[in-house]
Amino acid sequence: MGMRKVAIVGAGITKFVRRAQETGPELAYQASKMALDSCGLKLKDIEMITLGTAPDAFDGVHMKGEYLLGGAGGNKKPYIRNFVGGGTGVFAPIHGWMHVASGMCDLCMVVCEEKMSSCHPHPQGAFLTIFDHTTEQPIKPTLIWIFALEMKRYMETYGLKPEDVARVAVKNKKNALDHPSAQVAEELTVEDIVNSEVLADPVHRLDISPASDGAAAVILASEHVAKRLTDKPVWIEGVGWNLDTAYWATKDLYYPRYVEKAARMAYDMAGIKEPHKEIQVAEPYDPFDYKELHHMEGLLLCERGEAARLTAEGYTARDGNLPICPSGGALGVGNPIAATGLMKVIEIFLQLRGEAGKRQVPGNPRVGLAQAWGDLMQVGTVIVLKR
Amino acid sequence: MYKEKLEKNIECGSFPGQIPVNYVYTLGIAGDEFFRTIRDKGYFIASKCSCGKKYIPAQMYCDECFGECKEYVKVGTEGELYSYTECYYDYRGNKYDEPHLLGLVKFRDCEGGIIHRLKINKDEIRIGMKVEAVFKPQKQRTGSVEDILYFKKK
Ligand SMILES: [Zn+2]
Repeated sequence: MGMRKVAIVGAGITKFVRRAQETGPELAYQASKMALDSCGLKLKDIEMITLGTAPDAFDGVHMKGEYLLGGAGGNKKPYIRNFVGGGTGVFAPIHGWMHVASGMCDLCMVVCEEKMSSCHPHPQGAFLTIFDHTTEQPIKPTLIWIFALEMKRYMETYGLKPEDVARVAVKNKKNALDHPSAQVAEELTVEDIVNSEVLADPVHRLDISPASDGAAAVILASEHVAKRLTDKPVWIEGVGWNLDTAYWATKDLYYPRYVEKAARMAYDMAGIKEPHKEIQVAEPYDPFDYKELHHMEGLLLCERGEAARLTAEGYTARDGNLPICPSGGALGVGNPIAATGLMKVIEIFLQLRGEAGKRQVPGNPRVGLAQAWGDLMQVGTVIVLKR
Repeated sequence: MYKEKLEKNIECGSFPGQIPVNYVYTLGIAGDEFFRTIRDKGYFIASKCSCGKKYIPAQMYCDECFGECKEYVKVGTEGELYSYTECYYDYRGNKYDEPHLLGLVKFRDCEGGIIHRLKINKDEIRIGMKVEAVFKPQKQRTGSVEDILYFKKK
């Protein structure tokens, strides 16, 4: 394709919390500084910067990309914001990859930030206006209603019970106990999940990731620079993204075909023919527990309708055949939207380097995947990493 | 003159809307220091980087070297008028009864500055003049930019 090889060489991530004292730019700064320090670089070494952050309405700042610029190290540099809603956190490193793969620069920093706690009484108020203003907003939907429609249709299609889905929340919240950034890590039982309050049937309170504040950053380098900086570069071997219609009434709710298309784009580029065999560790987006199952299927990591059974069998546990969300995911680490996606990319980066500490999956994995999802239930963003 | 064809929006179907949220913005790590000092002591501080750069209002990071500004130094209440304007309309498009005088004040050896109201006679105002912040009485101060009433001639 005439593209240059691109590696991740450094990463930084703040704690994910419900209410940060730090401003958005301060959160962005903390993650950026950590990422630079992790690979011994100074900001002056970084040629270009791309920033990912979800809707302006969360932070309550119009032109949030510009607002975050100083903290993300963007002053007087070629700097730009990228945006695909909830899919932003994995699209941001794809955007950074474009900067380096194209030959535009050798070192690009990718920063993702979200501060949802500014938004009162609740970020759901900001979500209201993502829906069509004439056909949907008048009935005042919340995002949870919409997820409930999708979750119910998915469960109905494959005959799943609430317990089958709840196992994902149990697994991820437990995995997060080993993540230093985690906000809602906890050892819970399936009963705890299914007995928690129903918000919109079949969605229980503990089926959902929290609203969070946090930031994450990675440093991308071209091949010759990466090899100079580290003995353990992790290569971006495949990238993919795909958007379906904004009208959720138009799609098959039980299967995210747009995620499959994004995955196929990334797999083709990475030369992956049998993803269920070749991907050794994965971080699909899990804002709700059923979404992890939904995305495993869309990512072709298992047959359709099989993800819940595999989860019950321990196949997706940290020591299972295919560890899924060993970080603890959005359900356990927290969900500062764009920062969550990049946290997932960082988890795969650390897993492939063997630097995930207590979260390390066995078997010295060489190939991993991170995926984010969002906009109006319409975008899939996928990145395949190899060492 | 161009004439809008659609005189009234109501002639086509429409649905009124708003984003039903309000915001609480934290002052942040450096902002807390800066505004607490205004509230409690009635003067400005700057954050200082190990490279020597000073920032006002205080910010956590250095724009020059991207180091963390961990030190805070007293700047006082006096600055220099860098630019000013006389404003006639508010953000809703309503004309003020009295024009508002607005200035950008810079401080010695500091990056940044403060934009605020001025209370200076029109025949005395000039770029480069020394100005001084006038604060609310301490008991009324809450730790916000509104603790500053205006800048006056020094
Ligand atoms: Zn400095």
